[in-house]
Amino acid sequence: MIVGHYRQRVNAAAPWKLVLGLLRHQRGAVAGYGALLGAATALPLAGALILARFVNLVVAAAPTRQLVTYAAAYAAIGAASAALTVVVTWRTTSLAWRLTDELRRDLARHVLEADLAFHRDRTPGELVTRVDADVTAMTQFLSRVVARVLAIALLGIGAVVVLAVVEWRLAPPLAIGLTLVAGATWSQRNSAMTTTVEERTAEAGVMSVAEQYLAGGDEVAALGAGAHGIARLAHYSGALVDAVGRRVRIQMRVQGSIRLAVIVAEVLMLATGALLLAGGSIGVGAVFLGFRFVLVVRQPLEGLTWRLQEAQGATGAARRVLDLLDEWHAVPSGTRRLPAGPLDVEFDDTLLVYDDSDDSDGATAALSGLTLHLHAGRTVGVVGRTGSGKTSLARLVLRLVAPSAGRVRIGGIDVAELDEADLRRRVVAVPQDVQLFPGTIADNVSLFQPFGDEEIRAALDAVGLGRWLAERPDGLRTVLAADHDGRGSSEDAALSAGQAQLLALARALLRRPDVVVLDEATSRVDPGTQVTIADATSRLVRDRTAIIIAHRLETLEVCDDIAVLADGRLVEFGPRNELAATPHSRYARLLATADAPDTSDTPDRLVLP
Amino acid sequence: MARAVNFRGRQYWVGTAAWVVYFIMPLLPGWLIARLFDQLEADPQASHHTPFWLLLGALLAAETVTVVFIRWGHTHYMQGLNAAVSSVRANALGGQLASGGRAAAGRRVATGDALTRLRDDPLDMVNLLDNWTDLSGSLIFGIGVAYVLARIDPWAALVGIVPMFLIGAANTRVGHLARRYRQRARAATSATGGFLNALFTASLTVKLAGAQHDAVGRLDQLNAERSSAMVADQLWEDGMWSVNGTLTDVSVGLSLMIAARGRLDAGQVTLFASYLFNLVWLPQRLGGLIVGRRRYDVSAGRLGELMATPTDTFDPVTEHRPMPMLGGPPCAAPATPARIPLQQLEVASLSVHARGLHEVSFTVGRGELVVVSGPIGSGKTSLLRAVVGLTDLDSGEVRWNGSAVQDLAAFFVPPQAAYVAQVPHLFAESLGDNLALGRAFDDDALVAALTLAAFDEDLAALPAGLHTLIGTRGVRLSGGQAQRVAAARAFVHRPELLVLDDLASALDVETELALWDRLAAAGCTILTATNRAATVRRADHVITLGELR
Repeated sequence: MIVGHYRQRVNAAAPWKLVLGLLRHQRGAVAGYGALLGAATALPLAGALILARFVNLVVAAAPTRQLVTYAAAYAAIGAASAALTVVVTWRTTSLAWRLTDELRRDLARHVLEADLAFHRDRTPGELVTRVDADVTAMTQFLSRVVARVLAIALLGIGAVVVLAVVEWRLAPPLAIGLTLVAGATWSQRNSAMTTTVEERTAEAGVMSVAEQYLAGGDEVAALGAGAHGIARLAHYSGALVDAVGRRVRIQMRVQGSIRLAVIVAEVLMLATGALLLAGGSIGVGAVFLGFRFVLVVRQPLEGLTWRLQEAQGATGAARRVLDLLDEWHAVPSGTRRLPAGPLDVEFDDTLLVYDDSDDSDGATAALSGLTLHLHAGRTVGVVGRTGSGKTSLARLVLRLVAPSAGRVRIGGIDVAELDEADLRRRVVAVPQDVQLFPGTIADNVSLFQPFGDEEIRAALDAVGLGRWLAERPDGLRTVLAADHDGRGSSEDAALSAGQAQLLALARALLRRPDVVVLDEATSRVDPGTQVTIADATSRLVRDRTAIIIAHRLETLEVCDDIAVLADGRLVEFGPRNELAATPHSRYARLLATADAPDTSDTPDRLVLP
Repeated sequence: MARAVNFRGRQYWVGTAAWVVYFIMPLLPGWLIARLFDQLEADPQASHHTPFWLLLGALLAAETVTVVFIRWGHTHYMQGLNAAVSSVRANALGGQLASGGRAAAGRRVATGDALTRLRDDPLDMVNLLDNWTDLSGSLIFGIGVAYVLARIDPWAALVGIVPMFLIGAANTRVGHLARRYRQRARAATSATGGFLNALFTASLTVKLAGAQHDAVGRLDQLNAERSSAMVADQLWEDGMWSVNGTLTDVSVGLSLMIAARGRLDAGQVTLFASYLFNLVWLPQRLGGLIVGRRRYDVSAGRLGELMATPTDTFDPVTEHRPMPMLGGPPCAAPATPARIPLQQLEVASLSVHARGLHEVSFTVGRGELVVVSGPIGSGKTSLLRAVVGLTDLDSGEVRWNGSAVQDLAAFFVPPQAAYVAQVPHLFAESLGDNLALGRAFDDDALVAALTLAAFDEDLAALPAGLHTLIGTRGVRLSGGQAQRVAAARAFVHRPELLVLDDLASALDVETELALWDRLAAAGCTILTATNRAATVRRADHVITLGELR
């Protein structure tokens, strides 16, 4: 975990800081790389020295044999340099990828640790862009810009030092020229920031239109809306082309000034050389050497100026990455472990107010004054209309949100004090929307955790997916065709909605939890599958403390107790049979109005869609 | 390719011309520098005389003009290229959208992956244009260089230039590797992106299972695979370029070995060194073109896979569709087919075996409500999708007023038919735009459709009514609301045939029954999949599909 490295310097907000953080973490590899780069620098300088000597010999009309030797040496150095270049390129890219892969992993973990408040404001696509596209911009920045800047700086310094030794009078014009170049580069390093951002925004617009119309392919086709999609795409594409124009104009200004600085260095060198030559203190070969040294730096520098826009892109990317790392939304974890065996769940005068609620009546408490004791091993059905606080109750138990006041206890221990790993092992959630991963059935049930095949098979059997599994061509290794958004949309995916729900139950069953929080699915399921799901559910909650967030009344037979919520308050709690038998109880009245409650609208989800 | 360029044609060609000139320009400074060294060699006191300073001034001027010139040309060029990228992208997306629902059903590429392709592949394709520009410029420069150097020593020039082409040929020989590496790199990137998308969509599921560590472990595996593919790909790309650059020195050395036989002067040495260096671009560009050509093929293939029937021959460049906003005329409203009043819809022996539909036949008369019911997995949704052309039929046909419909996907669009999916997809546009989808409807028609779909109360609660932006950047609708909006989007066309995939979670029973009555009164014919008892009772016919297969 290297997040700590850059966490402290987030506010300085420069991509170089991020790069330094990364480099620091791989000091050994970086040092080896530096040595390699040193060798790669020495060769072109040696080549220039030999060529200058060659010119001297030409001017002195030296014998052909001597000339040929020098020319051959120059060719040999070129060949060696080529070989070394391959090695440098290889080391550069692999180092850059190694460094940034660590960043990718840290970012992914950061996102996965985050709680509800974090995910509320972000789409998965946006997060993928941060973790993948933005970090890849950093990779390219490292391998193509940082590495080149480093190589050119080494080359420039090397050239000045060698020239100072060989012909010191020519070192000052080279040093002055290169300082000009460095100054021009440095002073304009951020000049294209705004236009780069504009371009990114336009690009994001283009891709967002493409995404929406691709994802909505069925309906786009069925409604003949393709032309509309293309028109929208064209609109954003036009904006993109304009943004590119603005960006390139600025980029070329930067590039032009760097190149002008190099040209000035070249002319300065030639003028100084000619004057010194006239004074008789140096020969033509020395003038040529000075000139070649400017060229040795100029050539890679011109290559670099074309890459500078990647630096601009990386600046934005690094900022976004740092912002993401800086944002830490997770209900803090404690260290206490749950006692063995079935667990009680208690709410003690609990208040929950969402501080970042985007409702107009944001200040209203989602839950208030909730005091409730759920006994170990019993199953409670929580009922109430949308917005009554059912989902919030579940989120509190799962520590997806922290109570604003009061306590929530599991097994007598305040949830806030529980160790994260222990909590997740013992308290399991079955969300309403089942997300599938591109991977095998086994991966999808185990969620990549190390469970044995037999356990997984048993869990699938237990929820009634045994026959389905037996029909899969590769058994547990069958790859599920998860849709891009992880939802088994329509019948294109390998799993129907009902089967996906069963798979979610298998995920929970596999983990042998002590507390189950089940957010009942609302998707349409035919009566047969409904029975299978009910069976699997009762198997899951048996001998466990279970909280079922009920969106339908007909599925509550499995519950021992019923808790009725209204407007964030507990209005009724008791054994289900007793409540059902008491005609004036709220539960009985709900039963009387049959399937009326809650079906008119899709309820709040435990896990956001 | 040329057609892709036409959207900003003038800009593109001006830019290209500028680049070609830019490539030729180094001839002049190279020559000036050689003259300077000639002077210095002939007369060490040259700096005391005006001609030397004139030459130096000319050098400064020539270089400066190059800088200014390319600054102007490059801007045009980049805009032209980007316009070409946009047009390829629009054509690819257009090909996907216009090829209808069968593309969506038959497409084996997940949306995230398809998106990556739409983002990157057009770039790779248009890069080929860039490669051509580079090559043309370098080629003209190369001819100039060959002429000048051959006048000094033809053999030395030959020895200097030939190895460059050997390098170029070597690049060609191993060029096929580039394609393989690129494919591997792209595939690995797609896999990582797809996994991350699923992971972040399910991030809370992963957190609640405490599976972060193991999920990240899987990501590490994918990352490692991708890294090695990317390193290979970049080593190929960057490595080839840098190697070619340093190999020039070998050429320079070799030609100087030959030239040393005769009488050389300092100016000639600088000419060999500078011209041959600049000449290195030629084989590099040639190599670049070869790599670019291969990438073009890979990318065209990948974009082709997005099409209805995956084909190797699809070329989003030549299969050109008009792209209205890029310099062309403003976007016209999409053509609406003429309304053909429905008397009778017949589905005859329709089979989609993979979906468990075998020889399904039924008839729907005008104004009827026909319900498809059956257990989950029995193919209700597939049947509806097959009828409107979103799923390929294995056999059977659909007849509209007795005549068989050839292209179902093309025919079953408004005003003939409108389809509402089970999990509808709305766009991040205004509510009104979502309903109209580019067609001209007045606000009253939109509101009427929303009211029919029982969205009127929700509409009143929206901050900007029909102009409210919905989706991730605007108001988030609940699942039920979204389905009602989708229903309204279908109603607004007053289609002859409404195909509805289960409205049960969007509407309560009373509202749904009222809806059937109102639709019936409007003369609308309805085919719907549902298991809701009230609707089944209300139906004119019920088609019950079989058991879970």
